[in-house]
Amino acid sequence: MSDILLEVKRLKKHFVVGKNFLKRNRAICKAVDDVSFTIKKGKTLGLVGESGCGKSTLGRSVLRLHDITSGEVKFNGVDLFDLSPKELKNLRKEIQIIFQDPFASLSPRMTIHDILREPLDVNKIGTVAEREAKIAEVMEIVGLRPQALNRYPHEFSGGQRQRVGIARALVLDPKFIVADEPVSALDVSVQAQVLNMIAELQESKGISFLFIAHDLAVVQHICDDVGVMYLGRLVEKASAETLYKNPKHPYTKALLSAIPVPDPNDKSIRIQLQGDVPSQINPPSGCTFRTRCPEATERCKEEAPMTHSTGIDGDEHLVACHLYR
Amino acid sequence: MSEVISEPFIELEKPQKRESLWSKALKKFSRNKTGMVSFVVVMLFLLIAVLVWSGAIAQNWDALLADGQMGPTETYWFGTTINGQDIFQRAIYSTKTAFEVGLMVAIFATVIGALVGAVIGYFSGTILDEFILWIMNSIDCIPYILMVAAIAIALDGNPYSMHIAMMLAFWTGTARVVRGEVLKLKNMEFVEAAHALGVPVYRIIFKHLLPNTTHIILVDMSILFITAIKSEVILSFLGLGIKDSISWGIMISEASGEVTAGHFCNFFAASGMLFVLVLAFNMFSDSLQDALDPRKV
Amino acid sequence: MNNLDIEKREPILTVDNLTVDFNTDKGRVRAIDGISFEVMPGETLAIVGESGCGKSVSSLSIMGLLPSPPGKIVDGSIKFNKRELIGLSEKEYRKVRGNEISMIFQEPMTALNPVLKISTQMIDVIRLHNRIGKSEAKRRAIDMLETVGIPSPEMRINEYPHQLSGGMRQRVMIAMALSCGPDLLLADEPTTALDVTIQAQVMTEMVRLQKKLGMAVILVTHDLGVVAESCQRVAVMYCGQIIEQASVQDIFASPKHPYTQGLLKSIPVVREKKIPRLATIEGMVPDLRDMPSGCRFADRCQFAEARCRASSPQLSGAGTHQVACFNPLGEMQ
Repeated sequence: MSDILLEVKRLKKHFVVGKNFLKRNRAICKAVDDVSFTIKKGKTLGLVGESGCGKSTLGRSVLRLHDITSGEVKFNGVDLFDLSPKELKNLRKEIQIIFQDPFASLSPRMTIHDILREPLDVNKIGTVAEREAKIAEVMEIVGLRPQALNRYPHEFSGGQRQRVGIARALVLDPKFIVADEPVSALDVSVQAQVLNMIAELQESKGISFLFIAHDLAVVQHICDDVGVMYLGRLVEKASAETLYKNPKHPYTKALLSAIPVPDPNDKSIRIQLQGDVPSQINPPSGCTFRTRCPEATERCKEEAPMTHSTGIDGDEHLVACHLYR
Repeated sequence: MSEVISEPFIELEKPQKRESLWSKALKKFSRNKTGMVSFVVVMLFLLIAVLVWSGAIAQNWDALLADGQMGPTETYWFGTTINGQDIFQRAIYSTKTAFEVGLMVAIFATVIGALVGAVIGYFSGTILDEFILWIMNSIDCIPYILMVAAIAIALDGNPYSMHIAMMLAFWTGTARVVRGEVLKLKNMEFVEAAHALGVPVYRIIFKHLLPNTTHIILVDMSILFITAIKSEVILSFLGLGIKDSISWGIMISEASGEVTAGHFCNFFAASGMLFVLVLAFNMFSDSLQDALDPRKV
Repeated sequence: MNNLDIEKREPILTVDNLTVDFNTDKGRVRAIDGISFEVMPGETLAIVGESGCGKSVSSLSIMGLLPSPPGKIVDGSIKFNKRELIGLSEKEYRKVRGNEISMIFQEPMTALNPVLKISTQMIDVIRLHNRIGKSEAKRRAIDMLETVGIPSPEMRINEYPHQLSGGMRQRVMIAMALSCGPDLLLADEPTTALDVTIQAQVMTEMVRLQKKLGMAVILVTHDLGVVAESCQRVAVMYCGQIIEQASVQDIFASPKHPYTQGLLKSIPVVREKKIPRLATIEGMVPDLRDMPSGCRFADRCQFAEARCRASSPQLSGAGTHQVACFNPLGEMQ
């Protein structure tokens, strides 16, 4: 189908941990373990999960910021991992990334102007005048005054630096942006401003996003579809509306229920998950969630659940759980 | 509350002067009293060295001016050597020698060390990295005095053989330190961002990584300056130092014979000046490190 | 007979007009400007605000842990159990810390010493304030670990911090803080660095412990959701001042300060229907070094008038709901 922008098929990224001299029995960390999804043009997929679920690794794999163990990532039908370095550099203009940490994502010794100018210089876009015009344009989109161009990152607050990060991602006119927890490190009021800005970009420029977050509430505002990850696997994926109204996987339900509600009169019962997230190096057999799942059965220990597709045509609802066949 | 999409920059009442990390560091440094005092002392020495180098003072360090050994008098402030040479002029001239050694070695070793360190830091884990590290380790294994002797013989007659030997021995320290810092930096998100933007490798190393190590490089350079000067003293003592010139090291070496006879002037003049310069420079580089520390910015 | 059993409860902590300055390289900055509040025994007070509002500085000042230089308490008083804390010598303060007032921090990874076993760290704290032997102290420590919900505490106590997960480490920190039975616990963003499911576990544990030990808690946080679930009273800070103080019901149901309302509205919550845009507060927090005279929120407030810029409103109001505003919401002329 021509309106699929990004297609991820059975992506696996395993890290070998530890230096065992004999190369035997080396521990393997399965950061991303067999994940598949698609994103259509102009649509946004939210990817939610807690620490250690592999969502950041997945985000970087999609940009080919590192190699993958197996699987495919196709952008506009082109396999990213099949490209020569030159072709990859060309394609990079269309896929960009926004990072989580506003303090580490900008080089402390470069001015804002240089940070924004570099992608244009490196990709030889337009004339010098056109490049300056582009810089002015993105500064305006993110709401920063031109005076900010001569300053250094340390002179700005976290929220403003994040805007610079977004401006940098926009300067090459990408069609797709991976946003890796872009608002997690920001104050609530600043977070709202930045989320609104992203929503505006979706509408006015039709940019698709892979929005990675750990907060389901944040994701509802700007995502068309939402996927939930646990220990490297996609345990549930559905349209935003369906996921929030009708969550199926026990982990999704627990995540939704764990979000603290800013209403002192809300006395809804919280689903309390026992225990901690297991290690990615030695995950539990069968279904990796079974150690904390309130509805685990014997079957969950032996067999890893396959992803089943429920839901009506056009509104796909994927769940990986034995409770749903 | 109205819904606003893009927030304009709230202009502060007074226009703020833009401020690079350097000007911030400079301001911080200028407030450090020990730093400023030691800086002034170092500059004084530098002035002396420049004056000597331009031929303005102490040009008669080698001339036989007096009849023999003398203590401090009105004409000869530090007395004379056994050959009747003016110790004061010799001590002053040695300042130029010291700076020559210090600056040449510090600059060269730092530049080479930084470049190599940055490149292998970026390519850490690859064969290039392992190979260069192996070379560095091999160089470090050789006692540098032997290296100096070997190079002195190889470059027979070259007045800079000692300098060259020191450069070859000292660049490895800087390379290691820079490599360590680059290892830390290359996993930071702004480097990942550069990759995602298609920035070529050489540009990442020179525009993103190296500039963020300058605070370390500067401090390392100042340490090398002092190390070179002190090393020269030891080498001159062993007779492997510079030829046809005078340095504090040579003066101390001469003094070792005289001291037993009760003539201390040579020794005190040379070691006194050496001590003051080294102390001042050390304090200066400590304050420099504090001022440049990006975490305290 | 009128059996008015008025229980005259005295506050366990009274902060009055606390003012703290910081000496930065741009001159003196007032981090906290005359804040006052009280905490009753057994009560949880939340101090809420965004970065730079001064909430962490407040809790550090109470603990006497303000880095000084560059910080300095220039005015005000902090009375704990009727005893003035400002001006106590370091030696006297050490007797109070850990024993009567305890603190837990945001980053469990850096708050515990990575090269010491949990047992060593806990036993040290217990024996610092109690004249008991090592084995007795260890027994108390294991009891405490069990109380905070750590499974197999007698085994885990012999482990190192890196062998525990983030949630566990935070619980160990809570156990350490509570091991001497303090009357007041200061929790500075205790769950911000934790995953949301672990956060839920840890907060539930803290609420339970508080009820059991009858301890007062000051919870410093920016997360209003957590506040709603665990606190009785709330103080909202902005730019070094407390701009609203009320019971948790009143703050959420009828906030009076436009900032509080703006804050509440910008929290993303899971809703029935997706809304196109989140409500935001216009503008940005002013720089502490360039504080406007008059109400500090005036530049961002849609209800600001001339008098708001002319002078600074003080906290006032009848009863338990106080606000520093000339035009409080719901009371507009």
